Amino acid sequence: MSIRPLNLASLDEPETSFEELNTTLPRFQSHETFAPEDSAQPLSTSTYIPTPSSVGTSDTGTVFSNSADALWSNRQGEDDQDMEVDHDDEFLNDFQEFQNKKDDFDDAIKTNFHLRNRFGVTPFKNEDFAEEFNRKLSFGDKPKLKQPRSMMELKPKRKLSNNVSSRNSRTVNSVRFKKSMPNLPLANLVIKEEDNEEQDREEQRRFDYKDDDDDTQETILAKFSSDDEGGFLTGFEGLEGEAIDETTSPNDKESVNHPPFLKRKSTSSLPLKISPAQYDIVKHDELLTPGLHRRQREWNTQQELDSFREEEPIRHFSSQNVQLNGPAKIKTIKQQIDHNTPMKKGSMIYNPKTMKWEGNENVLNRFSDVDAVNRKALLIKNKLQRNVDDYTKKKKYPDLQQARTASRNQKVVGNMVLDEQNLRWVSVSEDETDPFAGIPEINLPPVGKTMKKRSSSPFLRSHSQVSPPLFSNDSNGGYQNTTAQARLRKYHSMRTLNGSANSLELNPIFHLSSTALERIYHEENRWCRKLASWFIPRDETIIGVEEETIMDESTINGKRKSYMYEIRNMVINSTKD
Amino acid sequence: MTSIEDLISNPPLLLDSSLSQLRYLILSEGLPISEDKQQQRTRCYVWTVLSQTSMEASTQRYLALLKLGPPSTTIYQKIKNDTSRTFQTDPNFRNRVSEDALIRCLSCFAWQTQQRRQKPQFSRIPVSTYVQGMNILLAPLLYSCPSEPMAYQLFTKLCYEIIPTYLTKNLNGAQNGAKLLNISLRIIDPKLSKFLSDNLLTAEIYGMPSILTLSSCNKPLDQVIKLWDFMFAYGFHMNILFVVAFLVKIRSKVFKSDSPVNLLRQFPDFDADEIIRLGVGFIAKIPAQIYDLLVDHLTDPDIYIP
Repeated sequence: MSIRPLNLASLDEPETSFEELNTTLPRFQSHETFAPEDSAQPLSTSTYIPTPSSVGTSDTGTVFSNSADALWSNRQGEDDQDMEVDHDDEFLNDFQEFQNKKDDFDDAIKTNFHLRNRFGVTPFKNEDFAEEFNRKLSFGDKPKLKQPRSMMELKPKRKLSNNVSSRNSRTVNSVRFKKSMPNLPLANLVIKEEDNEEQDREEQRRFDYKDDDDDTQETILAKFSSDDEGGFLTGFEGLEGEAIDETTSPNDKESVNHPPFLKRKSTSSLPLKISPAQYDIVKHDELLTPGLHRRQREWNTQQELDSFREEEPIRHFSSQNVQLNGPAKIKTIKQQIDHNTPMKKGSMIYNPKTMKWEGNENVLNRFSDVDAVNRKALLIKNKLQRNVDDYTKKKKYPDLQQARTASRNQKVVGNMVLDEQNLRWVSVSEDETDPFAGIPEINLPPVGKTMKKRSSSPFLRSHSQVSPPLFSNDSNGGYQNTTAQARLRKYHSMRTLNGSANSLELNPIFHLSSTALERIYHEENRWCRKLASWFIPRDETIIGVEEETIMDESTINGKRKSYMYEIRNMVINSTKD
Repeated sequence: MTSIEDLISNPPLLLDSSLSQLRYLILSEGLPISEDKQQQRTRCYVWTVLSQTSMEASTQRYLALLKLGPPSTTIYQKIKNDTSRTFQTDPNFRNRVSEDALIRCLSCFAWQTQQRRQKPQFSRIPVSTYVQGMNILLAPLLYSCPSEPMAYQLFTKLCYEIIPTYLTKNLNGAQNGAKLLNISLRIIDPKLSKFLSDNLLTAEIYGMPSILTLSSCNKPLDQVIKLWDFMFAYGFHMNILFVVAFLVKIRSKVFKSDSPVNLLRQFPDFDADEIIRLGVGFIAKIPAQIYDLLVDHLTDPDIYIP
């Protein structure tokens, strides 16, 4: 593609830029910027200028708001109609027109001056225009040079500077660029709000470079090289005014194409002009913004890339124009609250496409490790395996068979099998001698009576062995337990440590299920929430199992019995009357 | 939301006056009999508040006792014998309370009682590990409480603090209760009292079950619950007067009956409100010193009633 269509597109930029300028106008200190000392500032100075980008626009904005408001408003209707026309044809026509009839262009400038005079604005001399244009250029460039430094990377800036050195833009370019300047602040504002948008445009820019490298780069360069083209400066100033005329001209139809381009230009000065290919954005937790992340994913799909390659640049711009014009802000906001908006919490990222949270995929690896590496953990075997195991072990250890069939969840660790009936671990492979065979049982005093009931089975003994595998499982596997499970485990451990586990095992009555435990704890908590205020702590200790305190019974009784006379007093009082 | 629920939902400004207010609401409005879980909770809450039985750490204590397993074989056998018969014919009770729950609570009580015996401050009233009738005493609590530990906590409150003398080895308090029943009946209904004594029917014979179980051996259970509402509010000594009311209610039948013993063995189904009305009415006729005895005999094992 040729350079010109793009440049032509830039011609019509004022249309959008003016519109937006009017809205942004109040923000700028136009008086300050018009001050003569400001205008003398060179391009290279790094002295502070309040919101550089906005200052640049304020100049043009004020100029036109004085002279051209009336005309501007008149022509908006026409513009809207023109938008509908096929852009390709018009685009080429306009381009030719522009090339061949340069005189028309000058005429337009002249008419603009007439217009200005008509509206009471004093005409400028060429020198003044040059000076002012210089000044504006410096303002326009400031953001480009400054912002990248302050915001993030120097990359965008470097790219630009390379372009500057390698290319020289033509007058036409610079002229068009000049008009584009007012758009810079607008673009900045939008981009500040929405990184996605910026990334979006950045991507498009990349493709643009591929397709028509010259066009875009040259137009971008225009800003930097415009200083050298002092001879054209008068024309620029004129063009500023001419923009009004242009809106009326048939070139309007191209205006549709321009703003997106301008925006692309302006975005080149922004910190986020980073090629996603150069940066690994996704994995970095601190720097990662949702927008960046999402965009990169989206654009990296081959489909999306291809779609851009196939598109004709002109069409691309025109279509983009609709998005990035006035409604661009609205679209921006909409995207923020869209259901597609990626969410990030900690290290987890929500992928709206797959509707899944991503980022902790490797967490599950631990479980594969349990099988492969950590043989201490309990194996959860499927039915098939268990049946096979049963079959092989049946012959070797017939004693276990009954217990195994009784409980379906057989636990195997190494070559040890949990004998669930007796709650002990026994070897699968061979008979083992009971190391506790000769040691008599030691019963706790209160438990002693019940111990008589114990059977003399060699498997029945202290079951403290049960707890180690259970708890080692905790530490190794790092499994998450609910509070109820933890309590249940505590309850089990208490039981086993007390030595009466055996009688308990024989008596399922005394074994509360975890759901029952959860329920009774829940009920107690509920009670405490509601009724704790009705109780003096002292009363609690009287009932306590462990912490019962010695209290004078007479005082307790005296206090306790008084209520028993309440009914009598009521009755006696009522009968007296 | 009833006014009772409203009252217990808010922290009491003054505990004693708020308790009095709650008692009066029990007397005047009463708690509804309902299958509703929330109503059940409310009743349990009211009972805990009235008896000042804190449920804090009740579950923890209960589980600590539960981990001890069944008590000694003799006790355990006694318990199991009785639990299997507890309200066998009451489908409502059977639906709500499992025999296992009864066994668990009574076993825990046996353990806790054994532990208490080793502490000197509880030696004055040696509550038995288990006596027949405890299962019936426990039944309304398990029936009315949303959780087993809460029922157990109330049960221990009842046994250790409210009617400890009833549960000693020789049932000393219950014996005194029977004597007081006899005295009260003689005061309230001399004719019936004479008729019964003429038939050699002493209060120990016809009154003991109702005295020892705080009337919970009578049917229906839901009416027993209402009686208990009142007794948690105004004192379980009222049970003696309620037994008098039971007798007075069937007095005409007793007079006509050829074998009054059969009538007295099991009182007919009753209406709690009627019994309460009668019982409260009797208070006016009871002399102050007898009333003192009624109050004291529940907790004082040294009372001697001729």
